[in-house]
Amino acid sequence: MDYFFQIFTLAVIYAIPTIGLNLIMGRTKMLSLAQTSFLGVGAYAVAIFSGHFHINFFIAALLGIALSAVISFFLGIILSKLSEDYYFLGTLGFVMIFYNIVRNWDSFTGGAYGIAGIPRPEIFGFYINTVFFYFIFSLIVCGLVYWIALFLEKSSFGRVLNAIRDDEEALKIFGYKTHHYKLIVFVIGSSMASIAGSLFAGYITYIDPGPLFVSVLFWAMIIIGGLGSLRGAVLGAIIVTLLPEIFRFIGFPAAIAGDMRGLLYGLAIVLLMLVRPKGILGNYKV
Amino acid sequence: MGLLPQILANTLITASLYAIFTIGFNLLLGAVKFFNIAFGGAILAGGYGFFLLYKILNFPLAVAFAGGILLSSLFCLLSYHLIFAPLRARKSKNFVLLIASFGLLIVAQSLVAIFFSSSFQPLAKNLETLTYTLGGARFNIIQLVTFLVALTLSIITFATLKWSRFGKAVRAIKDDEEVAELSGINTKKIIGALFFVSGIFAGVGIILFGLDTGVDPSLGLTFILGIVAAVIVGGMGSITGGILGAVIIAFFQNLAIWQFSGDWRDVVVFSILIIVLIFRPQGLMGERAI
Repeated sequence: MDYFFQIFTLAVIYAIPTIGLNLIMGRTKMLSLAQTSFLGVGAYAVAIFSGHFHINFFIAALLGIALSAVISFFLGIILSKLSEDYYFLGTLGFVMIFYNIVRNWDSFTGGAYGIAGIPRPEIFGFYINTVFFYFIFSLIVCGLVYWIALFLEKSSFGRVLNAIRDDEEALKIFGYKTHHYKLIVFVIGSSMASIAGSLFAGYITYIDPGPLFVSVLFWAMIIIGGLGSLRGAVLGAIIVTLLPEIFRFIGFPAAIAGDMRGLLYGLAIVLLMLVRPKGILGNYKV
Repeated sequence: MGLLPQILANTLITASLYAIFTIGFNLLLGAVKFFNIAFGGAILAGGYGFFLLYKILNFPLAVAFAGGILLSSLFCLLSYHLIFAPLRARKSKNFVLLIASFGLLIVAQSLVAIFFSSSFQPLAKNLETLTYTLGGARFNIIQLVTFLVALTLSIITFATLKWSRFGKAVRAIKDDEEVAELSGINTKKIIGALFFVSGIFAGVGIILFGLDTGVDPSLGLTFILGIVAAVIVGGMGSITGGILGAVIIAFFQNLAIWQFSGDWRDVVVFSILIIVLIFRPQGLMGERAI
């Protein structure tokens, strides 16, 4: 049963940046790879503030969100002039810069070795330290994020976003400052990734500079689930997290397990683009 | 060994390598107008094809060289026929092509890591290669060959684009694919050929690099990022721009290695990329140049 909760906790945590990415990429077509970096901001915020300075997990996580919001705000302004392909390359550049800073700033981030012994979240003297409680805790946080995304989607703000996706030029003619909307969505979506990063760090209790591969993971999730669909984002996160578990049962050697996962995600992305570019639950034509 | 001559020599060597890659990448980019990230996969196919033939199966150097290049070209050609041609026929947006090519690179990287492990593999057999000293800078025979190959390939590319029928067709497609097709150019065939040719450049570059140092599965991504940076800095689809971009990227990479350490190389490259994206998104040479 613990195994079941372990896998599902990961799926629930991964669903959070996917919901955020779905807002960014599915709603306004900004091809962002930066989710992985904001996941990193959230994770390192907890690792450093909570692990090193003994600040409460929740305050550390909030600091991470604030930091992500500030960074994504400035990144969003810098990138706002760029269109699709260039936007993708701009975020890729940011991810590489961020990755190298984390990896090389040894005294602060532990460099390539990362930071171990991150404390579990504590609320009113109660430590969330069993697999089951962490699952419930993650589920509540994910539910909150889902609710925020749903609220945004149903509001007039969400309708403007859909219009940006369908025809940004027309909207500009009507006097909407579309880049403001895009910037707000980028900040919200990126901050969501930070929440997941904090949850992840508190769950694994260890953090190191992850590979770019993680970005591909989120892309695979929203593409499989369906761009622009909130339920699709969650479905995609569950499928992509559960799928590689099949390999565990087939019994591949651990050394190539990571690469087998990469192969699977890569193939899934290519095949979906060929067969069904709008994904399983996608509701708009790519 | 002088410091300045050595930095200049290293810049020239790195620039030669990136020039080989960017010519291949730009030839294709000019025609298809999307960033074929899967070019990094062709780099891996060439490098590991050579590794398999030369180091594992013990074929002679020339045979392995040809085999490796053929493999990277076939990778590009197959990717065109199986993935990009159907997507383009459907008039898919760049968004879809970009995601698909990114997926393909991940597939190639994972396959190579599964079959050849993710550890670093030197491609050269005897490590005592000839070294030369010129004006205080040291370089080895492979690095000299890389420079000469880059020079030769640039001249051949310019001559072909300017004077041959194939080159004229390529330039016509670059200007406007539909008009080119209407005027009787078999655009599908030419674009297929361009995919094949871009694979040749990928193969030549990585084998020369691998003989000098070695290969590992992450190189596909590392190189494609550098190539894309150089191509944007120089100007998308422009061959001269790509070469200029290669020189600029190579210079700043070597400057970063000398000033800080190898760890900060990528930070410098991508900072340049972002600065250029913000202030001059069309690149230094602009899109119209050859």
